[in-house]
Amino acid sequence: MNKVLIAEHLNKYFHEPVESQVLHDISLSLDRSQFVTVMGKSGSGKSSLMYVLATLDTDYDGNLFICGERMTGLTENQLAQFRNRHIGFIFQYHYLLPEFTALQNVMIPGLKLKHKSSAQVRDDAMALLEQMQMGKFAEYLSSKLSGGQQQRVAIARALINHPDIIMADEPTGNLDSANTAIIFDIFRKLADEGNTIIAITHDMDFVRKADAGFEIRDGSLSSYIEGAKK
Amino acid sequence: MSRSVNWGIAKIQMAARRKQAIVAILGVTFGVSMFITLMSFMKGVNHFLLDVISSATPDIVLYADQRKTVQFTVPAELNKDGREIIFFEHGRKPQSQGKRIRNARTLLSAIRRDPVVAAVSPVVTAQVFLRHGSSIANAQFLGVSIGDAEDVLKLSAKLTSGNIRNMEMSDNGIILGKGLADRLKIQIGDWVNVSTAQGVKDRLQVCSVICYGLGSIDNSRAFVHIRRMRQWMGKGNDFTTEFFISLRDPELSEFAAPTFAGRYGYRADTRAQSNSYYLTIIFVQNMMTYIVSLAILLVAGFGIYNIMNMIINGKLNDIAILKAEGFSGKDIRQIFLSQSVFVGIAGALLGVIFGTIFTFLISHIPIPKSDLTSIPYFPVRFDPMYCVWGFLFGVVCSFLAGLIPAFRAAKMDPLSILRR
Ligand SMILES: Nc1ncnc2c1ncn2[C@@H]1O[C@H](COP(=O)(O)OP(=O)(O)OP(=O)(O)O)[C@@H](O)[C@H]1O
Ligand SMILES: [Mg+2]
Repeated sequence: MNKVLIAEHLNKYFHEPVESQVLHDISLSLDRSQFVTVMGKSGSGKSSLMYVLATLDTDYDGNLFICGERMTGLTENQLAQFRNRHIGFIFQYHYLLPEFTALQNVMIPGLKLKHKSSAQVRDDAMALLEQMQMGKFAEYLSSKLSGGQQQRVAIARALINHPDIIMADEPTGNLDSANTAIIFDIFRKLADEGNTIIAITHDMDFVRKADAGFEIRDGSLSSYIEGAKK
Repeated sequence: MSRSVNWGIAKIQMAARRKQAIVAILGVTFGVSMFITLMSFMKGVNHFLLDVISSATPDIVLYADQRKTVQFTVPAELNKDGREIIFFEHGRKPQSQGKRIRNARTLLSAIRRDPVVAAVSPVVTAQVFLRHGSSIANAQFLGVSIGDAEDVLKLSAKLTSGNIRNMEMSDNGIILGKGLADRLKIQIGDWVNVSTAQGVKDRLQVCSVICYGLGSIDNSRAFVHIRRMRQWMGKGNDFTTEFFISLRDPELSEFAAPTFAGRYGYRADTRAQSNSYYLTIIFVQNMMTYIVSLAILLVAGFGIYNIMNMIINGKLNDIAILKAEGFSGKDIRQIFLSQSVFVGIAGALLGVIFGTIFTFLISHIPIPKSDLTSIPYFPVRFDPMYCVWGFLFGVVCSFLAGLIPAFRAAKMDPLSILRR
């Protein structure tokens, strides 16, 4: 089975401040090496969907499978372990641990996984930083980096454990157009290298670079846009 | 286990919050060092007081109660002629001199023959007025036979000048408490005028000065020959107001005292009963020390609690990121708890060092000259066990104080932070 991610009939409700449904019967599946984007107006439920797919939110109805494993119903500990091994997450704002260097930030999920020696994790992290053109900032405290630089470090961090799927919630939402372009190129390259990526974005350019695009409207995955590439 | 990763993260976070960490560490250091210092000081004072008490009073004092009618029996086996003897005695009002014990001679030989008794000394007590030159003082005279008193109270161990020999040889000798001697500005060999409540006047020569270290005893106590006291009072040579008894096994005094009281019909007080005043002081002082030490450790604990809460509130983003990266609640708990434990261990270690130094310093602070005591330095008893206890208290308090914030951090829902 080549589906990296399968979501079946996801429904999510908020009970506070008023009873409301954010996700309406969402089903989707992602093939290995597929790069898809999710568009939608502010408040349409993009982030809510992403947190469910990333296993950070467990308060939903429906079924979620990642790499053939059923996520729904796993304990918090099991999910944490699974995220560490299989999912790379890139946030819009909450980039890095400020008291750690760029290199340390990239290394931490790798050290946590314990599949490699720390020297090897260090080498891998360094290679990823070079790949993001951040090699010479490796020893910088992450709080001393610009937003675009931080986001590149965050991408390197998401890649350190060779995740089966990379999830990004508006990775360029906070950046100027120059940095946005850099990040887009990185994503395109990652996709070409065979990574599976699901990214939330407002940006039509970004959507056009992807293999496929979904649109969320009022919590329903209402339309499907074929990407320009394929 | 990912313990080493968690510890690495904790270390870097602490290094970044160096100031807060140092404040927390110093809080523990203060608590632990104060605990050690207070305990050593408390033990020192206890030891000093107990030492004074045990050298100034005998295991058991047998005396006539000033108020109630007493009946006493000398059992047949303790009497030479094998008959049981019963005495009755009717109470009188308290007065400046001790009340007479009837048939002291029979009692003395009975007590002497008792197998649990090591030594016994008949005593006559009275308040006596002293004058030397223009200095005057009021003293509690203990009339004793010096040899017996030495057996029961080990007088010679507390003499600061002169010796017990001179006193034994001299007919007119007196051993003065150090406070009395100072007040009367008197030297060994000087003569002092005495006058009793009955108006008898006499002159005695100072043979020795005795010093227990506690003002309330040294400022009033004096030893003279018992026969001299009997002469002043015009009593016969078996006149006795108290028996000072030392036991072969002092631990038995609690059992022996009621037995003596029942057998001889006089009141018999153990050392603890005759010194209940000092024992109360010791008790209250111990309670105070424990409460103060505990309060200090508690304050240090609250300090850690506050600082850990502050650190965690400033680290909500980091917690969310770590959880998204795959750190479990348990890992997060470990990260923050290990910071508290590190603070506890570092603080407690420093506390042990400073506590030892403070204790040493206190034992070298001279006590200002006063009437209260004549020991030169603050009494301190250092015991390595206090360091062990102080260290454990410090670490355990820090651990407990860090527990709630660490659990709070572990339970934090990353979504509530990411959604902001
Ligand atoms: N914790 C919450 N409690 C109640 N309602 C919430 C909560 N979080 C989000 N919502 C609501 O759910 C809806 C979807 O929110 P979501 O954050 O998923 O939107 P979004 O598509 O990511 O928007 P944006 O583009 O601004 O990031 C919104 O109407 C929002 O008000
Ligand atoms: Mg959003």
